[in-house]
Amino acid sequence: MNTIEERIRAATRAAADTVPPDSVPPLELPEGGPARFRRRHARSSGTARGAWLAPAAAATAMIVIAVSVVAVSRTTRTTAAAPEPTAAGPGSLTAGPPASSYVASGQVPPYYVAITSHGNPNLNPSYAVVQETVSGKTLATITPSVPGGTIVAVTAAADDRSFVLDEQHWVQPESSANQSFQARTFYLVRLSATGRPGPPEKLDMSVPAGAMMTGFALSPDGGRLAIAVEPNDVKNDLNLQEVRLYTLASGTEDTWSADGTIGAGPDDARSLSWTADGRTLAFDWTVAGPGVSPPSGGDLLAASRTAVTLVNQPAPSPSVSAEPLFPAISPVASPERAQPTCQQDSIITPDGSVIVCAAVADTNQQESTPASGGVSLRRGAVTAFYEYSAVAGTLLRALGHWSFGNVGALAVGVLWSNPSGTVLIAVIPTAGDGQVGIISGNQFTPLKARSASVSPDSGTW
Amino acid sequence: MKANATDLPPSPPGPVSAPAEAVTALYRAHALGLIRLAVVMLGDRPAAEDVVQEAFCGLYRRWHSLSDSGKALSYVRSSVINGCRTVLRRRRRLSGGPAGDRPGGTAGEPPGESAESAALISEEHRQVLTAIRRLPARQREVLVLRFYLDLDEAEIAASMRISRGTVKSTTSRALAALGRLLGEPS
Repeated sequence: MNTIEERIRAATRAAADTVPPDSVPPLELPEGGPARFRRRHARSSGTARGAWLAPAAAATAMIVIAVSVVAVSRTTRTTAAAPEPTAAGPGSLTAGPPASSYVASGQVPPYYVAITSHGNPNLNPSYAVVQETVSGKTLATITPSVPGGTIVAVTAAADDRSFVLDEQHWVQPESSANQSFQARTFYLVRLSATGRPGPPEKLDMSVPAGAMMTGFALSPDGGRLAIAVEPNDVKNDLNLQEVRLYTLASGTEDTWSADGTIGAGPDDARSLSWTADGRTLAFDWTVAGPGVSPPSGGDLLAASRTAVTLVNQPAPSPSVSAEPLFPAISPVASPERAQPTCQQDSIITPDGSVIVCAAVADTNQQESTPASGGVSLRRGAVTAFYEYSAVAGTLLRALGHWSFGNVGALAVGVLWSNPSGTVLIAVIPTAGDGQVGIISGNQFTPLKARSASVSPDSGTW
Repeated sequence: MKANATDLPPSPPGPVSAPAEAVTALYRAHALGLIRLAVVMLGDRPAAEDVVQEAFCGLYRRWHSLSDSGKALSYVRSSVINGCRTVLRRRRRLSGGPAGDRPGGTAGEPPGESAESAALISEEHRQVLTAIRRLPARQREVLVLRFYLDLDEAEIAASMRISRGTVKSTTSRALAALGRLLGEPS
């Protein structure tokens, strides 16, 4: 058992135990009974802490409205705003053309690189495999450069031939050390025309032990590497996030930093995305720091979502600057009971015109089972791959707007986009851990690529 | 190990036509566990009790529009989580900074924490709780739901209305950040 997990369990248990079992106050329900349309409730409390109850109650009411999307029946949603044309209800998934036609026409890259391991990836070091998009056939295996190493992430250039691998020292599962904070070294690997890898070339930059890398992306021309890092500066600035831009040929580095977070977590190879001209690097940016309040409402992700472009002016540049691409993605108005909300790691399309986010909502339903007298949960989902104008922030269209009757994980993610966002490689939910495939409009073509439980671990095209 | 199973048993069946009785029965069965959950989140017993009261009042007000009573516990647990988030946001707004910047307070120690509660918690546990409360809201919530309530990924996802993948990544990020705050070896 991990030491820190034991410490959390013990500490939270100790805090909870300060509430004795016999000390629960009686419930004070409001007089007059429940009502269908009451929005506010004021307690008739005369206690000292009543001073902050009114704003707390108001804020809670605002939040509960969002929660009610899950728990309240359809009849309470009849006053929902009229849907935009692109926000109509989910359609049915239709089978797309074979993957081979996408590859043959050059619409989708022929190869990808995935991270895999022998057995449970939490218990075994990982390595990289080069696989064919159409067949999933493994063309080559790239093992860590040194014994005891593990390859934890990969990023690709636009030529589908150049990849950068992120390698660390492997931490044994029984160790109390944290894998995420091990030092990182980077290797450039070039594939031949047949997908065979050349010898790994060690790059000059690295991330020292103690820092956590939450994103990295090789530029389309393969000349620059962007790395998102939470530096080991916890005593001075807990929320500091840096984006470091390395020019591979010269080894020069530009750094942009601010208080906030990028990426879904350690080794997230989806959190940064480049435009094809290499002038814009986009990422989801959640602001943090002193005086910054968490966003209100139930739609935490969408409300906190701000796409930011990091613009690197023509070299040589003394510094880089970041500017909001647009202030925030607005939730999509929809009559649906379960409204898909954007998950982490939106990407910018290579032509720079569109921000694509993968959105999902659950549509869980309890079903009675008369034979046993009990109920069972039937997990459903609605997906949408919303595409927003990178200039105006307005919703342009929704691809893959589908309803699923029975799913395992709420797995969605956008892994790759063609230049304008009309063809995507993405993850959709299934009865298991999800399915990787090609999305074009409402057509879906499944691929053999493995869907990892965390989308950042899925293949890189 | 489901250590809190006795605090949060399955919802008792209740007729939707008797909302006061059903909500009261639900409160009797779950109030202790939910107040403890809020205390873990907030470190403040009076605030925790108010959050739970408000959550059950909200459930009562919306009882007629509840599509099925089996979802009542999930509903009220989400309300408690949101209520805690609101209290913490208000605290932070009043202090103009994170927990550690509050006038007269130390990092992670809420202003309303009673001397009795403080005396009952060891220095080791206080250090961990302080670090947990310094985390961003979503990270703090997944840790408490995962390691205090022993909820699985699907249950956490439902309570927080986020995907299972996000639960997993947020947990990973939270553990990493907490490790740094606590000086765990990297």
